[in-house]
Amino acid sequence: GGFFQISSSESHTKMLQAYQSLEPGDFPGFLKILRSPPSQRLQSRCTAFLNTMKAYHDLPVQKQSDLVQDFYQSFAEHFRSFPEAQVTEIMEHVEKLIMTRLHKWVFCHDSCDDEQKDLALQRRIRSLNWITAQMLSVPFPNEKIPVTGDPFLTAITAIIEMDAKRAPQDKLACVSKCCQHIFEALAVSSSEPANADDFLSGLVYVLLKANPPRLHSNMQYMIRFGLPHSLMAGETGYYFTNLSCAVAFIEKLDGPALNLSPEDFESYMRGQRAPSIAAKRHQVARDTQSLLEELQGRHQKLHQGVDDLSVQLQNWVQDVHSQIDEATAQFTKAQVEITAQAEVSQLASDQGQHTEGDDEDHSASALHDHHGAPEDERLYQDLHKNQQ
Amino acid sequence: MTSQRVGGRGAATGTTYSFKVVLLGEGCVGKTSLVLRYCENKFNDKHITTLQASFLTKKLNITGKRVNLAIWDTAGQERFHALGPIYYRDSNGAVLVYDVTDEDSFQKVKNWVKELRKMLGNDICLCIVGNKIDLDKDRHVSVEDAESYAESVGAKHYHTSAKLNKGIEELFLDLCKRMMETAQAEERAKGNGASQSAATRRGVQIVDDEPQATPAGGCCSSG
Repeated sequence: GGFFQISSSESHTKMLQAYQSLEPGDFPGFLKILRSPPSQRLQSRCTAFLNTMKAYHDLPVQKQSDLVQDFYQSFAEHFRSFPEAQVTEIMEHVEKLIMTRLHKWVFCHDSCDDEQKDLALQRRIRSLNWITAQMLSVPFPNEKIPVTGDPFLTAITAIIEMDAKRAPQDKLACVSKCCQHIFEALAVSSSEPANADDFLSGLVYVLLKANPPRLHSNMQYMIRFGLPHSLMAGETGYYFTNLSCAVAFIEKLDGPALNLSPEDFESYMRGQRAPSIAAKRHQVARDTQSLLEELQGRHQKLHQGVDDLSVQLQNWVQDVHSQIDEATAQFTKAQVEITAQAEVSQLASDQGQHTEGDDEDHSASALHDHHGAPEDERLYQDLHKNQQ
Repeated sequence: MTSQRVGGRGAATGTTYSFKVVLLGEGCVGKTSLVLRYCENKFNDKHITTLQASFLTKKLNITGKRVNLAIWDTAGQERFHALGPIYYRDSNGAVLVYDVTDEDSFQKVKNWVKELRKMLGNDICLCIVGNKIDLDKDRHVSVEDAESYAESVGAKHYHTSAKLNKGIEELFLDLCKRMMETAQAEERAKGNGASQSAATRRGVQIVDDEPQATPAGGCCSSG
């Protein structure tokens, strides 16, 4: 007996050493240690527990939750000599290991009305789809949102992703990611750090836009099978608490909460007033306006093109004129010379040179006309291009 | 009851206390400035890089004991009023802020005090804080009224100015000391072994050498 005691405690020490060297977040490393010989007792406890849970999968979900939470507690007992942070790390691995396997048995369990509540919440959110960011007083960019669209889009995506995760901590990580994206989105419209009112309004807006699948079931699953500390304390606890607040707000939401009279609220709910349609009209109006603005811009450009063109034309006309003047001057000069020559040759007593000079004048102006035509063509093409 | 679990890990062995403090106050009383001043020592600073002042933490060392303080801002707008209890759950302390120039904000504080006492009894340490004493010439809540009210509900009263960085360190240090006393008293009560029920499943995540003696649902027994 004595020998066995010693060797058992020795192996216990060895096992603890292995877990102590575990890097944070290293789940594969944890599995490796769990499967190693010194850890055999812990591993068989896990296996036995999983088999028990499988065998009892018809038990009411609350009872299953109790079993899982009791298991977490007794498992953590093995590491009571460890610092708190390290125990938390190990327990997160244990949660992931256990719940990845149990998810299919216990999520949205038949023994409770989770499914009905999911549907009710989903319908409720759908019936509130007319609520705008403005009604919720969510800080929202005023200017036209660029192509990137709704600044809350990444938050919306993150919360929708939650349903696809199996371990409670992975679902909780989606909640945290969603909330951090909300803070980033709020920072777009405000230079002040967001307070709880801004944040909760933003979260309500995100939930209404996302209508996350099986929201109620996912939250219940985290409460029942997650590590309690991470849901109640620290940053993740704060986010989860706000998620609970946002859902409670959505469930009880009425007119005054949105600064609407009860009558207005009712008519919105009955779909008689559809601000979504009004919003769409508004959107169309804004689109039209921006198209008009663009058109005006093009129009201005066109005008400028026309102005440029007329300046070019004037320049060209002046050019032509000055060339003609020059030609005329040269012609006069030539005429003078010719006359002089003629006078000289008159002395030599022969005539007929004079008519040839007239011909030269005609061909010069024809040349100018020819030169002008393609230039004109090009300018009109420019004009045409500007119009397009 | 979770104050013991979250807050009470091994006070006797000199390890860390973790406390949750809720922050309450109307929008314009300056509660955001107050916590930013305390946690980041910044006021209306252009260089504030913090995206949010909703959840802030601070580490302290008080008489050789480490304290992790988590400050939870709560949505204070009227439309969120019914959500209070979801925020307050398991908190060890509450900082209720009003603006000394705004009588209404003091009335709001009175409402919250009632709610907190109703829900958490005497387990929670309350601080009533008159902020913006730099605007004392416009004061609309008299010092006597505020202090006597605080005393009547078992709360402590403080005057602060986030702008001038006055009174804030003292407020939180005092609050931490009181929360430590409460936690130690609870631990002693536990140590007497009055009720050693099986550890409740909600949350004895923190493993303690001492036997867990948190009776399920009996949060008000050990005041």
